[in-house]
Amino acid sequence: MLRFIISLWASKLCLFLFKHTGRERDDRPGILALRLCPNFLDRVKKPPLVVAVTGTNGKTTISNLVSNILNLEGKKVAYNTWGANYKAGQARCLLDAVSIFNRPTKDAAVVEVDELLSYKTLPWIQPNYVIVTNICRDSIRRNAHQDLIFSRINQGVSKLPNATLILNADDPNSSFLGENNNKRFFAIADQHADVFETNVSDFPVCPKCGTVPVFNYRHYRAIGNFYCPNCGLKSKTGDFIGTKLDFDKREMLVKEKDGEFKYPLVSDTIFNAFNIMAIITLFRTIGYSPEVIAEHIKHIKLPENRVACEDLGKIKMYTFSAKGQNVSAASTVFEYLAKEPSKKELILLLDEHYGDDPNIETITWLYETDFEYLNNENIKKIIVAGQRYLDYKLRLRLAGIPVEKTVCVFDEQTIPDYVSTDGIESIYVLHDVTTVLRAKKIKDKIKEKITNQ
Amino acid sequence: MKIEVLYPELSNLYGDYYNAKYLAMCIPDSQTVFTSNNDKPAFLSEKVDIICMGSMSERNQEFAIKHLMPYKDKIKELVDNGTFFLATGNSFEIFGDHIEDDGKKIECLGAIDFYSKRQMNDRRNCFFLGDFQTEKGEDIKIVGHKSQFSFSHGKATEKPFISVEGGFGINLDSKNEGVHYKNFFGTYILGPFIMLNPQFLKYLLRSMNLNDSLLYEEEINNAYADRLKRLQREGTEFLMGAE
Repeated sequence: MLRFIISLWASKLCLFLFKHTGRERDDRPGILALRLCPNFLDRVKKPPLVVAVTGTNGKTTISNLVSNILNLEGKKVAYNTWGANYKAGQARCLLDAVSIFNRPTKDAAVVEVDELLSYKTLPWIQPNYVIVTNICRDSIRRNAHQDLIFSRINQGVSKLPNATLILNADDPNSSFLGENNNKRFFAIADQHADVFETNVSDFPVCPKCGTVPVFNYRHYRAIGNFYCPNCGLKSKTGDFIGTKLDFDKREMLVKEKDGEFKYPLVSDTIFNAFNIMAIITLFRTIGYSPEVIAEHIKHIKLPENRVACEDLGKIKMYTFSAKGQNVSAASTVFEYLAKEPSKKELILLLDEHYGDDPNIETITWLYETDFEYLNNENIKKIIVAGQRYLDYKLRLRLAGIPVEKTVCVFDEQTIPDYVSTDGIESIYVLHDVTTVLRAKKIKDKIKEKITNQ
Repeated sequence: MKIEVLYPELSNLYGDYYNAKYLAMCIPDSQTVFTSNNDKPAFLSEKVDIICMGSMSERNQEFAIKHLMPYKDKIKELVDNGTFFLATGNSFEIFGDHIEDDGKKIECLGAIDFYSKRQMNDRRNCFFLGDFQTEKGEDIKIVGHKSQFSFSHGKATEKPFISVEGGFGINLDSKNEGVHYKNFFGTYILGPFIMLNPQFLKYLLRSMNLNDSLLYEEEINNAYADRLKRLQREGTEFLMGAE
């Protein structure tokens, strides 16, 4: 107990100093708390409402949006906006939600949980609600494969008998989590989308019998409605189903047992529609009315480190998170870009290492990701920079992209030299979560070049 | 020239299918058969020149073993007769005697004399650099990446496919990586092994009495040379943490 009190006081002091010296987005108070008391997460008192968000893709987006809505409701919320989802970030978040006497000072905490470590951290965090975004192909080094991630999250939620899981019924992997938990499912009905065939091995066979599954329909990759022709395993049914999505009007209809209600959408991407479905399901399960939720969604925005757009006259310039090494995220963004009709140039900043960094990285993901999608007439040029530029050069050629449409260079500082604007309507700078600032600098240089023309 | 890819749904976890795809791109007039796990393998009814398999999750590996067990004798015959096999990631374990996993023993095809041990709570990652010595004494540097829950042991693991220069071997006590028996090449190196190792691919093509020129040869060689240079740099960290 004494150890916990010392840890709490020392880390609270540290947090106070960090907040007052402009270093609020820093996990070090959490690191200190855990160093002084390794079971800090377990011992720290939790606010009345704790929402945990885990899964492969969409954690930070959903966590941000949930916390924004709670703020709009006038709740005091502890949340790390910068996507700190390891133990230190979680300790930093929960530390901020208690007084020096370990009494809750906030109404709620929204805690992003790394999926690989969820088996350890979820039982400590003891959330009331766990949103699992999806389980799909990710970085091989960290996450190995979906079966491992499924077993890790399942282990974590099995120790939360009182928590309600918010699950994506259209994800054939995560929807089978939590056999003994309370669950609420969200789904999107068939939108008759023209979904590309994919190389990404998200859900190759029925987990029960190993037969190749049949999809009634897909929204993207393996997100959709399936059945197994051999053993009969099939998709779960949604409690909340997005029935009609109108991306032009940015709205969708959601059917539930009490009727059908209209909600706004925050973007024109299907994957963000799923993020909104998760949020609607959470807040409806908590007890908010559809009208209140819809009103709040009108006022929330996607986090800027995920997508940002600037209007430069004739050209729109986007920075867009695509995540290198994360096969499913990169393929989904590539599919979106292939379908988005503007004439565009793409800049890929997806490597983990740049410049003379002596580290190396695996390139297996290049051959899992659907670079073939980028062989599209609306994509006029692809500029790639980073240590692995020679691997991209080969991969883009194998994807069938004409060599004259590609530029592969080592030094990303030279990217603006290759950007052209003739007949171009949009420029997308695709970045990894580790290259947000790098992407911003490149974007600013390109913007300067375009403005001076 | 016929290439058979066994169970592409199960064994394409890390982009391994590109090995067969690129191989086919480099061999004019080749035919690739993708044998789904609902189908009977082509090698049962016709001559197949090379059989490719790739990485899979441990659960899917057990499905693949179940599918192949009825053809165990035929597979052993093909291996012994010198049919070419390229098995990347944990797929080569299927051709050994058995896999041990937490007290459970999973019978495998028994085509080659080795066995594997799984530890699902202990995943190991490394970059890899090694040497493959051809029958003519030519040294080919092999590069890649390994990420695994299992290691292999036994007689066939004592004769190296690749000698380890950086990273770990077929088990943590071994300086050998992979299994090479007649024309069977199995390695824990994951995913696009051939894309990473154009010199090995050229050797493979020559061994199959084929022209060894590669598609986009300049590009693939440049990428290989760059990776080799980085891996050979003094102080390269080969071992990587998993969590």
